[in-house]
Amino acid sequence: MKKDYVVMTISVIAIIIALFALFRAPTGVAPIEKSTFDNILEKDEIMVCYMTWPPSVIKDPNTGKLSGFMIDIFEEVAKDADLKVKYTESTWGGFPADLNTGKCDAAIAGIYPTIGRSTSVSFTKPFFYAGNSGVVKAGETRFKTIEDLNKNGVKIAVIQGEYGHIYSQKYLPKAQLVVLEKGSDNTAPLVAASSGQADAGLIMSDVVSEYVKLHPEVKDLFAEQPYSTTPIAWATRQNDQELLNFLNNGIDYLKSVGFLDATAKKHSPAGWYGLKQEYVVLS
Amino acid sequence: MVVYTWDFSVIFTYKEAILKGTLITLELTFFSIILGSILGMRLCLMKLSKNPILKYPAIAFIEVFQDLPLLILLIWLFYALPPLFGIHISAFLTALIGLSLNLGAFSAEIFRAGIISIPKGQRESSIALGLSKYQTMKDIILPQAKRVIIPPLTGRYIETIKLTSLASVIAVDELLHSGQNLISVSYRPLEVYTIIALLYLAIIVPLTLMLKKLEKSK
Repeated sequence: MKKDYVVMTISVIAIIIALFALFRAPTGVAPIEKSTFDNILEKDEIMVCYMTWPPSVIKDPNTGKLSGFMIDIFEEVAKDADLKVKYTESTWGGFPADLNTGKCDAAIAGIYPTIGRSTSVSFTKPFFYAGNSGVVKAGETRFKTIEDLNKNGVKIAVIQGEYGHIYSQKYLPKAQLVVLEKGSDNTAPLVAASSGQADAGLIMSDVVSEYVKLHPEVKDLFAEQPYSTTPIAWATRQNDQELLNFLNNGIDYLKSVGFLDATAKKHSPAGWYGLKQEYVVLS
Repeated sequence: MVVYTWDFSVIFTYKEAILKGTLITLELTFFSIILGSILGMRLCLMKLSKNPILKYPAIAFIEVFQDLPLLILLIWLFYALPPLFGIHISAFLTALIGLSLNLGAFSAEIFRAGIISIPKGQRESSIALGLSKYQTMKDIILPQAKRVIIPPLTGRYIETIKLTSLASVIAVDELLHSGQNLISVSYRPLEVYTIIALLYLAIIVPLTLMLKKLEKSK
């Protein structure tokens, strides 16, 4: 009995010390005199976290080589500034922590800036809009529009925190959600529909478009028109305004010379939309 | 009847990725077992020691790392160490440390159970015969304790192989994470998960049989 008390006491003391260290320690990255962007220019290198999401970020399973239009666009920005890019793989749940703990300076993929995420990281201006779609069984006739999914007894598979999840919570309250963990497997909601675990699976249009080509047991419910679109941007640490300005200027420049559209077209992501530049006569 | 269109050809296209993932899983398992076992034995001896400076930290260490879920430990090590201590370690090393700490805590208790199962009289007799404490442990206690230690320890080792899949949450390119990356390119989730399951079985089943044989021979 006495030993148990000693063990408990030591454990509690250890936990208290750990918590004390946690709250005493500076949060986020250690204070540095130079800005992140100064350090990048000094080293001629920018550290970038990526999340795989073909066709925007593709990691060749055999060689590990990166490709995809987000990689092409980021490389172009870095090339014009004579910067080398050092890539680190991250996860959808972990990229804000990777940024805030200094593992990388920027995060790239088809990142959807939400208000919640904006409280922990900063986003560049959106430079694409990604369509959202979903699959149902090929022979399914009950569903024609997104509203048709908002019925009692309808099971919808979504990935936690992804747009389909946020949308379903807000606009499809009657449906029963099957919320899947956000790993690297972007097909999870679709395979849930394929295997009969859910009536429908929602995810971005590019994933749905590729999936239905290989899986005739399901069909793209919104092949002609995504049920909604979401802005896509890159992320940086919250206080890195100089880096954010640099990336925003890079995006603007590449848009103005047609590089963004050309690169996206090369990879032809289904359901992705660029921003059209409109000109009007001033006088 | 649910109809799913199976096509395993993708596995052959990306066999290098699967092989690489398998090798990383084996590498992670091998080094975790080595480090975890060394740590476990040290902790066991510290806990058996009469010196309170050794004994009580070992008790607290074992308690904390047995109680902490490994998934939480891995995430914590990976994301909390840089802001707390300015330490940046790779995802692989983080997974190795986490798995070793977990195995160390559990194996310490297994070693301890084996050692205390040997009657005290044997230790006293060895000392009386002039053997040192080290010789007593190496030549008298441990050879007999093996019989008690090996079955649960092999179980823990096999559990460690399975636990390596948790390293996928911090993007270590082990079998599961390689598979998930392959799914994002091939859009063939069920085929990839099936192969991953078969590969885990291919690693674990022979190992289990081998360890059972080893158990019987002792």
